Amino acid sequence: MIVGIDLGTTNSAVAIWRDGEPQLVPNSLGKELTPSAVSLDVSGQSWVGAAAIDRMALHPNDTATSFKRMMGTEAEATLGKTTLRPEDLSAVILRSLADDVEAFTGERPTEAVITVPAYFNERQRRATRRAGEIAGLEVRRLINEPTAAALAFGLHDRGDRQPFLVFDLGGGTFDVSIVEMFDGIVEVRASAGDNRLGGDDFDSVMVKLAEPLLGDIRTLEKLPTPQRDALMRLAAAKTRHALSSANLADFTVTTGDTQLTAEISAEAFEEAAAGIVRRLRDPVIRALRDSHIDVKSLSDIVLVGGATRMPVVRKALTRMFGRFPNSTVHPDHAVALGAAIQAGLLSGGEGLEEIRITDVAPFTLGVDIATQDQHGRYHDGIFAPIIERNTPVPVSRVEQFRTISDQQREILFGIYQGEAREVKNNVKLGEIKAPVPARPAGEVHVEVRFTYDTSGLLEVDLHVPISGLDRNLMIVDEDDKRSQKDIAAAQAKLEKLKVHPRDEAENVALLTRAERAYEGFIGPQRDYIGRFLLDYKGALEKQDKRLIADAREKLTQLLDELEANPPV
Amino acid sequence: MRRWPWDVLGIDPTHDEGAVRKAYADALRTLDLDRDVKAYADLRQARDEGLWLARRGEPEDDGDFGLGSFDDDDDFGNGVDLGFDPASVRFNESTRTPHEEGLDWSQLDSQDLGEGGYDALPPEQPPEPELSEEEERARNAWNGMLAILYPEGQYSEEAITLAQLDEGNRYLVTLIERSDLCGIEEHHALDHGLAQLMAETWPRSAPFVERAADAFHWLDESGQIEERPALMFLNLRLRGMRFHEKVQQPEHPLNKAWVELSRPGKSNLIDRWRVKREHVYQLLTGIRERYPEVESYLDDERVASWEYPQQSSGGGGLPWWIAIIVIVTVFRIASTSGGTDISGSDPLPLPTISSPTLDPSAFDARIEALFGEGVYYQTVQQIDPVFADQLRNAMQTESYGYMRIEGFVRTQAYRASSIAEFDELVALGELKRVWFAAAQQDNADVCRNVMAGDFQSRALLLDEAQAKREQTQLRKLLDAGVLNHLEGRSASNFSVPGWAVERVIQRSGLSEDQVAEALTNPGSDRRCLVESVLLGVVLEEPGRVSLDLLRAL
Repeated sequence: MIVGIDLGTTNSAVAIWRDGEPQLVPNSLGKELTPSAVSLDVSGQSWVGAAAIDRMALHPNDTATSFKRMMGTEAEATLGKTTLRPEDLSAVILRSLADDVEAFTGERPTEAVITVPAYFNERQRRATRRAGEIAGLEVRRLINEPTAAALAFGLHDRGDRQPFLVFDLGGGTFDVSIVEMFDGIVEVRASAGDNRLGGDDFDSVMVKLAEPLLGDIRTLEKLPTPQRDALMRLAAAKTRHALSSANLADFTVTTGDTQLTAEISAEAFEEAAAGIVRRLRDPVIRALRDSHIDVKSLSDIVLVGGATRMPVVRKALTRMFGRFPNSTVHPDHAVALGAAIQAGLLSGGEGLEEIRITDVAPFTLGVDIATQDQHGRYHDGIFAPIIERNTPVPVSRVEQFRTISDQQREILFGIYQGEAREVKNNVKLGEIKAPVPARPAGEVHVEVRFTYDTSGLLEVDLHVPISGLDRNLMIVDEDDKRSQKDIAAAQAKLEKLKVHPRDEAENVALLTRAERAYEGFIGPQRDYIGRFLLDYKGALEKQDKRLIADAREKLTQLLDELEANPPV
Repeated sequence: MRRWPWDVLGIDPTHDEGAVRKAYADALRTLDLDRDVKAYADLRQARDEGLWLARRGEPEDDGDFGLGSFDDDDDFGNGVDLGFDPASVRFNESTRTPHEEGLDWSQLDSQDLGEGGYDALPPEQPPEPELSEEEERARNAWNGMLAILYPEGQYSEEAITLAQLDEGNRYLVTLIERSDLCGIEEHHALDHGLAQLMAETWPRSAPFVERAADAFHWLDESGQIEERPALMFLNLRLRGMRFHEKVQQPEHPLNKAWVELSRPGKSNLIDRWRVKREHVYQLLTGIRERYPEVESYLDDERVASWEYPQQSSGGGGLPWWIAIIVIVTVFRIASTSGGTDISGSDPLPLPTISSPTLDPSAFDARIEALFGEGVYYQTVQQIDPVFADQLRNAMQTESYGYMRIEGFVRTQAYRASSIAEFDELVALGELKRVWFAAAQQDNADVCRNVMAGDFQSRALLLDEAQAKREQTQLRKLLDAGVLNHLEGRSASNFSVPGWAVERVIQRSGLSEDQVAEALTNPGSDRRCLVESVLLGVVLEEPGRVSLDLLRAL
C-alpha cells in the first residue's frame, strides 16, 4: 500500500486512496492532525504528537518541534540521552503515522508519497527522502505541497480550470504556485516561495510584542533559556490562534506560582507583523511573472496551510488580489489528501485513469565557472545556469564547457542551486570531476548534462568527448554518502525508542496534558487538577477499566472547562 | 530534424486551442514522464507551438505574451538599437508595440478593482468614484511625477532642478509605499508605469531610476530573456550611472583621465603631461563601447583635442570609431581544480626511477640563451624566485621528455598577458612579432600554434637576430616579475578600432572582406598573416588602443 503523507512543520497528516477517493487516517487519539513534535526521556521512552507538545512546557530540552525547518542541515538535537538529526525526528513522526494507517486498515504501509514545500532545495528533499527510508517507507515520490493541494482542489469537481494560484503558508515555509487544469491534466505553471517564512515567524513577532507588556518578568528571567522560550512560544501560538476569532486576546505565561498576562490587540499584532506580511508579496509577483499570467485572469486563490487562517494574512491577501480567496479546500487537510491522490495515481487507483500532473523545477540549477572580464582578469565562482527555474520537469539539458588552463589534467564542477549570479550566494549541492587529456587551454571541452526528475531530484552526467570518458552523479553530498550506511544505524537507534502501546495512547496523552495544565494554572484551579489527576493515576494503577474510563472522563471534562474559560 | 508540431500532437492543423490542449492531454497520458524525458520535452514544445499557431489564425487574440516577445537582440554597443523605440512606448499614446499591450499602466481600468487607476488624461475620463485617502495620495504622486518628468506635457532633455528633485523623490517614495500595500495588479501597473515613464523621459528621469530600481528589483531582470524592453534600456543606463559615480572617485584608476576630459576647452601640453595617455583612450573606448550616454558628461572640445587629427577616411573607408567585433568565440570556461598542470609548481607524480641529475652548467647555458648574456639560474632566482622554481621543475620534467624548457618560458610569457600592464604588454607584443616572424618562415601550422600559445608541440626556430630580440623582451618580462603566472588565458571577443583595420587592409594587400573573414573565423588560412600585421599596426601606436585589445592580441 502507498500512503500519502503531509510532513508539516507544525502538523503532519496521513491519507490513503480508498474507494475512489482520498481519505484521512485518524491517529491514536482520533485526530486527523498529528503535531510534528517528538519528546523523549532518559530511558528512551517516546511521546509523539499532542502528548509531546504537552511535555514541551515541562521538558523543553527533551522535546523537539519545528524540526522541518532544520531539514537538510547538520543540526542535531539531544533529547533525553538520544541524539537525533532532523531526518531522524521526522522519521519518528512518519513511523507513528504508519502505525496509524496499520491500525486503521490492518495493513502496514511500505511505500509513501511525501510532500515537501515547492521551495525546498535539493538538500532538504534528500533529507526528507532519507527520513522516509529510516522510518521503513520506500519514498515513491516527493511531491510539492502546493501541487498536492492543487490536486485536492482540482479533483473536487474535476472540471477544467483557468489558472489558479495556490497560496501555501505553513508553519515554517511559504510557497506560491500557479496551476492550470485541463482535460484531467494538472499543470503547474510556476512556483516561487520562501523556505524561511511561516507561522513560526508570526509567533516570534508575537513574543517580541508581548514580552515588554508582561510587567515584572523577573521570575521568567530566572528560568533556563530553553524553558522560557518554550513557554513563550506556546503562549504566542495560543494567542495567535485566539486572535483569529477575536480582536483582543491574552498572552499568558505561568511559571511556578506566578502568572503573567498581557493583552494583545489584533491591531497591534498586525502592525508588528507588517514586516513579514510584506515578504508574502515578492513570491506572488515572481510566480505571476514567470508564468506570464496576469493577476486578472487568475480564476481562484486557493489557501493552504494553517497560517493562512490568520486575519492579518487574509487581509494582506485581499489587498493583493482585490477579492476573497476560495475556501473549498480545508487548509490543513488539502496537502495530505493531494498526496493520497498521487499515491493512488502511482498504484493505478480506480477513478484516476485520466489524471496526470506536471510540475516545474522551482530553482535554477547550474555549475560554477570562471570567466574572463574585459581586462583579462579571471573571476571564478560565477554561476552558469543549466536548468532555469520554472522549467517543466522532468527535464534534461546539456551545456558545453572548456578548459581554462594549458595542460589542465582535471576538470571539476561545483553543482549549485539558486538564483544568484555568484555561486557563493547559492546552495551547493555537490561536485563532479573528471580527468581530461592535457591540451592547451580551451581545446578540451566537456559536456555536462543535468537531469531533473519528477520528485525534484537531480542527476548530473559529465562526458568528455575527446577521451570518451563518462562520469555520472546522483547528487551525492557528504550527507548522502554517509547516509547510505547511516540509515541502518538511524533505524537501529529508532528501534531502541520505547513507544507507548497503542491502547494506552489516550491515557498517555491525557496524563501529559493534565501535568502541563497543572503547571499552567495557579490557585484553586491548580488544586482541582491535582486532585483529579491523583484519582486518575490511582485508577490507572488499579488497572480497572471501568474506574479508568470514569476518572478519565472527569479529568478531561475539567481540563476542557478550564482551558475554554481560563479564570481571569 | 525538427518535427512539425501537428505531427507530434497527432492532429490536423487547427485554430482550435481546445483541440491542441486535448491532443496534448491525450498524448501526455501515454507517457511515463520519468522515462520519456525527451518525448515529454518534444510534446510540450509541440503544444506551445501548436497553441501559438492556433492563435495566430485569430487576429483578435493578441494575448500571446510568451512566444511573441522574444527579442534576442542584445547589441547595445552603439546606443542606437535598444530593442525598443522610446516613441513606441510613449505614455498614453494609442499606438503601442504589441508586447506592451496589456502591461500599460494607463490601461489599468479603475472599474476592475474598484480601486484607483491613475490615468493621466483627466479630460477623457469619466468622473472617478471617490478614492480613499491613500489612493488619492498615490494618484497625486503619480500626476506630480508626470508633471516633473514631462514639463508642460512635453519631452524635455533639460536636467531637473534641485527643487524638482526633492519633490520628485517625495512622489516616488509615496508611490513605492503604495506599491507595498496595494493590489498585485496595481503593483504591476506601478512597476511597468514607472519603468516606461523613466525610459521615455531619460535622461531627465536619471536621478530617480536608482531608487525605483531598488524598490521593484529591476536589476534582477537584467540579462533575462524576459527582461522588459523599458528595463533593458534603464538597466543599461543604470550601470552607466554607477560607472559614472565610481569614476569620479579619486581611487578609480581612470579618475585622472575622467577629470581631464570633463574640463572645458582644449588640452594643452601640461594637461597632456599630467595624464596617462593610455588611460584617456581606455576611458574613451570603454564608455563609447558600453555607456555611450556617459560621454555627454565630457567636454566635446577637450575630447576632440585628445583624439588624433581626423584623417579623411576617403572612399568607403571606415569611420575611425567604428569598432569591428572580431575573433574567437567567447569560451565558457570551467573552473579548474588547481594545478595539475605539468608545468606547475607541483611536479607531476614522477616515475619512481631515480631522476637524472641536472647538469647545472648546461642549465645555466640554456637560461642564458633565453634571457641574454649574464643571466643564469642564480640571477633568475634573485629576480623572481617563484619563476626560478618553476623553471627548475620544467627542467626536471624536460629530462623525461615531456616538454622543452624554451617552450615553457614562452608559454609563461604568453600567459603573462592576463596580468601584465601596459609596458609589459608592449614588450609581449614585440615578443610575439618575433615569434610570428619566425613561424612564418617555417610553416602555417607553427604559426597557428603560436597564436594558440602552444610552444610545445613544435619547436620554434629563431635566427640570430630574432633570438637577440627575444632575449631583450624576455628579460623585460622577467624583470617585471610577470613570468610566474600559471593561470592560462582564454580567448575572448575583442574589438579592433577601424583605423587599425584600415591600416591592416593597406598593408596586407587583402580586401576588406578578406580581413574581416580572417579576423572573425579562427580557422581561416589568412588568420596568421592578418594577426601578425595587426600586431605590427597596433604596436606602432599602442597607446591608441584599449588595454584589452593589447591583452587579447
